[in-house]
Amino acid sequence: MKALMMGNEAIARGAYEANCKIISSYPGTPSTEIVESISVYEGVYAEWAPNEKVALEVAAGACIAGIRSLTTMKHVGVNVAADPLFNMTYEGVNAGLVIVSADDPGIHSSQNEQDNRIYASHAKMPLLEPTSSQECKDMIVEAYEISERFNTPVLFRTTTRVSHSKGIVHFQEDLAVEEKFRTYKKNKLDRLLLPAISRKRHLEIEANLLDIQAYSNSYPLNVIEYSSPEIGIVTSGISYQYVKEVFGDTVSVLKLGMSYPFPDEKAKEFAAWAKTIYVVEEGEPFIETSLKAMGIACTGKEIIPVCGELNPEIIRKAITREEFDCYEGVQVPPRPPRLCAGCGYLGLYSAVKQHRDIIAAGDIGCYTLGGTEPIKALDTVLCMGASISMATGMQRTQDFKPMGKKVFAFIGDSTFFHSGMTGLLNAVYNKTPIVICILDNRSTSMTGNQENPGTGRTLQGSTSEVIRIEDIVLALGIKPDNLRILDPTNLQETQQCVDTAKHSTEPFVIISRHPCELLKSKAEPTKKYIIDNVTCVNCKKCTMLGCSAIKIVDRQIMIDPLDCKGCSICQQVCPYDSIKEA
Amino acid sequence: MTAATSIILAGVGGKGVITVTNVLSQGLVALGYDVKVSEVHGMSQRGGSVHAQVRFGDKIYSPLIEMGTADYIVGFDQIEALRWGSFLKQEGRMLVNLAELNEDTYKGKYEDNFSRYKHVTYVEGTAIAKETGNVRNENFVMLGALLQALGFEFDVWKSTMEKYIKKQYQEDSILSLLRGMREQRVAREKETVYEL
Ligand SMILES: Cc1ncc(C[n+]2csc(CCOP(=O)(O)OP(=O)(O)O)c2C)c(N)n1
Repeated sequence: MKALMMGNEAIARGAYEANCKIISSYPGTPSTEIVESISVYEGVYAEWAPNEKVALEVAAGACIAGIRSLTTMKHVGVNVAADPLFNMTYEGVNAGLVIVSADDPGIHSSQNEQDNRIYASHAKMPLLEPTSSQECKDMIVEAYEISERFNTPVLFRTTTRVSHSKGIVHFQEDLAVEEKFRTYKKNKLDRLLLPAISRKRHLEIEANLLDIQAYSNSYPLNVIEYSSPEIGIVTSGISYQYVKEVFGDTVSVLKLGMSYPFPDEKAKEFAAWAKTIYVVEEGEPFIETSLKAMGIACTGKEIIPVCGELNPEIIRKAITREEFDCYEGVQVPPRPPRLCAGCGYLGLYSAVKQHRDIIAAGDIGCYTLGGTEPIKALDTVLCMGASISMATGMQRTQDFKPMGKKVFAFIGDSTFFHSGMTGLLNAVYNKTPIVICILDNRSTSMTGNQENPGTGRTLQGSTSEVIRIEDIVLALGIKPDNLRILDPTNLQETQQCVDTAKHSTEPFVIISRHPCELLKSKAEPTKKYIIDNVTCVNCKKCTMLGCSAIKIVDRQIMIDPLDCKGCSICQQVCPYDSIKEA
Repeated sequence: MTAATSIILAGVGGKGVITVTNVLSQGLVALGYDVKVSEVHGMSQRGGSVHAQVRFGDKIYSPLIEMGTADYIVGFDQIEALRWGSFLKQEGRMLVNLAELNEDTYKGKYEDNFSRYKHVTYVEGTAIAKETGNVRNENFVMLGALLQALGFEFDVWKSTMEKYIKKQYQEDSILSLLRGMREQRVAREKETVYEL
């Protein structure tokens, strides 16, 4: 049987075939589809956890109790999960544990382009890097074997082009998955990471790494493709495909499926064959550093960029100095992503923007787009959960250096559950008078409308407890008088709330609640709005909202009837009463 | 060994680039080709530019197309076609939907740029889709025009459409695909357009 699969779908297939039964993850591009795909296989338990640290710990518990488990996350998610990640090498596994890190070179949909291969060497666990969808499936199966054989978690690293590209995958359709579990032994002392035990474990890990290195030297996916000895290229991941695209079989290639622990013997063998060695890898000089440490002369980051993602033309130019004739490019206007028409965020941002004395600490989600043209309501965006804690720090500076500003935090529902709650607890406990706006659109939208603890549904769509944000906020110590719940499409109410909040001398929470426009449950709009061009004076108040249904045609503002969702926010901002129900 | 064929499909979020890419690539697999597809999900789907790259042949390595090597660029509107222009190879062909771009940012500003490419085919995708009763089907008209240019027969694609398009949309979309493939007036070489 063969099928066209995204790398992420192939990882799900492989994990299923490997009898992985427990999967816990938090969504994040480009990793999300792995969990979505595996959740439909029979006989697996898959869940959305509130964040990556929780997800990794759930997977850790499952593997120790004797069942193969998986956790998947985007590259920055591994930062959140770094504490259990580093300690799991010491803890050891029982049944296999695989951690998928989906990196995003080129920053298609992230805050940075960190190279998570370095986590493998830092946390002392083996690293596998598939180059295609087929390898995504096959290597996951091997990852579980390696994990159990060497009693270690395995880091499985993909990139956007591996996770989101599709290729043909061959697999056995009616494969009977062998249900083998491991027994759990109670009171096994190695699992208590106390200093005396960890010191012993560290020695064992170092010895284990030598064994894994010996395995790495014989690992079938660390392979030398012999051709002319003139040029030898060492590569891994998607870069391998680009190298083959450019050079075909004209150069020798050392392809590394497992680049940590580094297969030193394989590298020596290759160096003895190839006269000039290039290292072609995306991101950091990870392989290159290992080669150079061994004294193998090679050229890598001198000619292959650290920043951005690679592609065939970068590699061709760098090594052969050739390039194809191209038509000269035409400068066309960029069409960046925007908030949807009817999105509740438009109303809240419009109310906040009227105050020049508000500093707005943003967070990660669709609402981050409130920092871009024409809304430009946000001052900072750092990482998930940072809005509340950064707001606290900024507000506190005014004890010493008054700016006459009030600091507001803007955080989505999923992000609040992910890592906003502790920030809020801190602000309340230490009495920092910030305003926290929780943008509750009843969905984890940016990554494709996943469920979260507030939606009352699980990954599979079955009903669950609805965790009410207002209950959490009150439990964390916000006084009932300092909590407002509003619908941001009601501008007057929203403006009043923002005003009250701004003058509060205590921590204050606004829950801005309006369901996401992209939710399937959303009904068709019952009304639409139009602009009366006779009374419209082109003041552009409505265009500044950032609504994507509002367009300029023949120098007149109009509302595109195909896009209008009837939210009426534009009608409420129009000072000339020129916007009417159609 | 036949060389790889490389296609870029470009449009904006919500216009069906991903749907059409799926039908195209599944059909190519059914025809026995090796196929690789590159798409980017996430941030780019919020109404902004969206594109996909499809490559097929006997053996495909890279899912990404190199600048100056695309055989076809399928633009769901004029702006997105031009955005990818430097990826087209000298003898490659642009298939451009004549979309109604009436916003002031675009209107009348970019049409002239197509004269630089040797092979341009304008497709009245939007107009034809309207005739078939659903403007949203312009993506299938464009797919039809591409399949025609690639020299494929309708039959394989009909069954692929039946497999990958939801029942309630099948009739309209297959009709749009067929019109995209068959109608002579769809494909006008650029010279004729400038005489109009
Ligand atoms: C540590 C980390 N994990 C995951 C992500 C991916 N991510 C970006 S936005 C987002 C969803 C945010 O959802 P929510 O807070 O509800 O805001 P919405 O998109 O609905 O506006 C996720 C999961 C990330 N950027 N960082």
